[in-house]
Amino acid sequence: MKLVYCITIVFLLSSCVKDKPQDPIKTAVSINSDNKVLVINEGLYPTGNGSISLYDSKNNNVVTDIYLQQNNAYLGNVVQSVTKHNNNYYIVVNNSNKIVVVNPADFVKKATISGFNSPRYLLPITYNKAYVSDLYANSIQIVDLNNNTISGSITCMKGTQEMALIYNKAFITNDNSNYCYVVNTTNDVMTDSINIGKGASSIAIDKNSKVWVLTSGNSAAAQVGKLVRINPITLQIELSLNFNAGENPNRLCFNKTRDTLYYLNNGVHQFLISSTSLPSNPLINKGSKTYYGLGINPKDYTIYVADAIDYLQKSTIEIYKPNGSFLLNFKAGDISNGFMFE
Amino acid sequence: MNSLTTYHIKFCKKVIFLFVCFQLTQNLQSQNRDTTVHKLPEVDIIHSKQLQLENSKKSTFIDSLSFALYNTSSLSDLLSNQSNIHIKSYGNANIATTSMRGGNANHTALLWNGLNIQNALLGQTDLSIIPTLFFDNVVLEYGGGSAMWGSGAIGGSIHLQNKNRFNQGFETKLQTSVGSFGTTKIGTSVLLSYKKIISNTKVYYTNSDNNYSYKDSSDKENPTKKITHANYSSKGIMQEISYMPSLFQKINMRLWYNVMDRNLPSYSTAISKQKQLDENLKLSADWNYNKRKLNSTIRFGYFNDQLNYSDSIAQIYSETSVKTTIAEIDNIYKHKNHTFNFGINFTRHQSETKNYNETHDLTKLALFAAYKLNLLNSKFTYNIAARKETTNQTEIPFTGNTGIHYQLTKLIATKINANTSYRQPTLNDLYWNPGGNKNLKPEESYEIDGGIELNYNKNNFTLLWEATYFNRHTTNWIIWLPTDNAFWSPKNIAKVYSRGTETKTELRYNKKDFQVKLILNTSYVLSNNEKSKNENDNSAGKQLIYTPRYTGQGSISIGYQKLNFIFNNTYTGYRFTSTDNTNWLNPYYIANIKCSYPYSFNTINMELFCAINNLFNKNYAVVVNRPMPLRNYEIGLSINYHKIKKTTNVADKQKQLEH
Repeated sequence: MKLVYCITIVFLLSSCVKDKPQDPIKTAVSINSDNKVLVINEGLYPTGNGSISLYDSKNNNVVTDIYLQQNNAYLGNVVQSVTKHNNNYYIVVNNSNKIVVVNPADFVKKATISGFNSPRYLLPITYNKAYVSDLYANSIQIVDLNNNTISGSITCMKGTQEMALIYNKAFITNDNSNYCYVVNTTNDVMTDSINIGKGASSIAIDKNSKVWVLTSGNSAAAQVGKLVRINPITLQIELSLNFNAGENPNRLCFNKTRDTLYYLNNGVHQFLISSTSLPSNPLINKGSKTYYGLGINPKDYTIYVADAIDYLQKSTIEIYKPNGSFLLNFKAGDISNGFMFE
Repeated sequence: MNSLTTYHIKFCKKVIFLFVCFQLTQNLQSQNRDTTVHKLPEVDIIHSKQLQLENSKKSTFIDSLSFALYNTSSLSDLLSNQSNIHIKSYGNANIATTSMRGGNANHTALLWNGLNIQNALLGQTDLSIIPTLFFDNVVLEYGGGSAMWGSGAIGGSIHLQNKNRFNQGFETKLQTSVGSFGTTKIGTSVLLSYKKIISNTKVYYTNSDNNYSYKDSSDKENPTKKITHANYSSKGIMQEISYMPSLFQKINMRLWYNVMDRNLPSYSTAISKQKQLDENLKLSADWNYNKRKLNSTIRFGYFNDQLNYSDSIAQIYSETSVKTTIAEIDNIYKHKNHTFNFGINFTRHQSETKNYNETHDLTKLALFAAYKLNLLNSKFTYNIAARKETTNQTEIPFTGNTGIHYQLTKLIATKINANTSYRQPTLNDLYWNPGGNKNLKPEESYEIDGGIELNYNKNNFTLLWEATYFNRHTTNWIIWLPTDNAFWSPKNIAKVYSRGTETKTELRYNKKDFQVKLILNTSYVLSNNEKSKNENDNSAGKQLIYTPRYTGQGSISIGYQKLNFIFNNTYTGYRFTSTDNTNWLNPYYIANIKCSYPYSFNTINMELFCAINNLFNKNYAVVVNRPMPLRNYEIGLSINYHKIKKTTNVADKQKQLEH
């Protein structure tokens, strides 16, 4: 009788599904392809599995985590942005408070710049100098790219986001204050601030050298989102278009000819810089998806949109033709927030 | 990493196998012994409603020896080591919640002497702030039980119980311990137990630097790191007064107050400024009338639960409080082989938080009834229970529970149950600003479970073995999803299918001054999301995050002469951290040793106790990026003085009434 119990116990313990999950299947992508698209994946918060996916748009191949594959180490916690400069990729890892410098040819780490509070974006100023915006520091960090150290800072209210450079002026967005800040890049001194409203995090410069800033608004402060055009010489607001209350426009991008803007607002919207009113209907409908990242491939004008789904799994990247018709999709890393096209 | 994992599994399998073998050999050797020594008293199971009315459900309790050895620990430490409920712990002395039968933290009801103490804002309770010292017993009930306990009892229920006996004399105890990471604990209790009145006071204070080391496998250059800004202090008091005005009446009054003040470490930023202060006040009073066939209880509860969290870096300053008032009338009427239960419960939660636009109240009125039929000298019992609740917020479905317990032979019994249960949306789900969704419906579950129970007694041996299978569908499962407007909002979107098997094996052997007890609990749970959120969603058919498929817990307790010793082992399998199951955490196997040795000096009893936690120095995390401590120690001393009173007729009669 006891033997029967024992067999039953052993049986119950040894049955069932294999617990060990399968490791992902690795695919090979030529790093030197001319059709490289980098997908920036924040990673699941707070797992520290932020990554860069490498996509070959010609052959439709993807490596989910190219940095891990080439360095056998994780990039870190919340990969925010990638900037190419001096034939380096500068990968800003927000929650790990660092910038990882990698070689674009093989994705191997060259250096780490550390000492930040909560870095967001890197803006190259000169060959050896860059600004880094920061969510929690009351300053913009100046980075010496020669020896990869922080060489100074410019006092600025915390919450700084994307930046743009024109006529030796850096335009700095801040989603925490009402202002877009202007810094003289020759002496690193803040010279002006332009009242554009709260929630600004994306900025771009058009073919006429005009600065465009998109603000998401702030419902607590009863401010709606705005698309603002700034004259970088006079610093005057030339155009300001209001979104509806409750809308949350973000991720401003230009096409290659820099005459058409794209942004996310419950779908992908297209805006010609000559227009004077915001489009009411999206170019690409969102449906039940969670669009989180946007990019326009300068090679073929195709539109890349990232669906973060529930922010708890691998994002789906959808590629649309310039007219908004669906082309194809692929899986990238967790929580993709943007793209970098070579 | 792969080899390490394989090692884990192999090792665990070995341990389980050894347990089985050991049990078998013990069993075979047991035949010819005849003396019975009850050195370690089995817990005095409380004459609870659940046992009187629902004996067909699986329930376990933590035996008194183990309970005593976890006297200085929190409820989360006790349950993560002494049960196979998955405790989701965010670090040592950090937030800890439960997962039972594939549910999440909202799906376990927590009751204190029959009063639901779940925080109504969160729908869950942090078990790390509840001291084990305050209670006399913890009962774990598996499976849905809303018909009995109301909202939240979907995966199971945890019952915290206090039990005082009259006429025990005067007893006082002082215990103090020191441990790793600068931890000091002190606790004291004073019991005055007379013929008609009892006063029981328990006080504790704990302070810890909690600056433990861990290994960060992602940092190859400097893997050894130390947790900083995790220090905490907690203190509390439980005061109980019981009064017996007549043989048929009993009045209990209880006050529970505790404060836990902790700094929370940051795992991402270099400096952390996170702080959390929990302050809980719970008052209860009940009057019990027990004469002939009728047993009536009127209960009142008033709870004030405060939770303040701040992070000056992220500029979050959150202060929330919820005041709960409960009034309940509960009657049990016995007539021959019929047992009837009927009653009414009124509950009101009042929120005070800046996270909502305005204050919101949740008022609930519930009518409940149950019936149990005993046939064939109680070998066959049939039970049925139902509950209808109305609230000022959401429409609550009618819930029911029915089951059969059949003692086939002296050795074997079978059980079968079916229930529908629900979880009401929390106040945060309904009113959080922005995102709260006033139109949420309650989550509903339908579950069947069944099991087989063996109970073998011979001479000095006792073998208890139970295997259970359950199958549950939950619809309208609430999850928070991103919206079009930058904030998140809860929706009744998910459908979850959970099923699995559980085993419980308990073997005891007593002889003179020697007692050994082996416990093995296992569970295998599949809990899958059934519905895609959109066409890109890969989560359908996948295991829910932070829900281990395999968990096991085994312990050997030995009482030899005066020495008490427990060697405890737990195994937790892979847990996924992403809904498409592409990210996961490795399994962990953790062992602890606890022992105590007493020395008596007249009526004063001194006891030295010590513990080694995480004996094999495993580096593990229950939650991603939240490392748990490596091997650590605790050593302490308790002094007990007991002046026993002679048993009188009153106590005898009271005992007779209870049985």
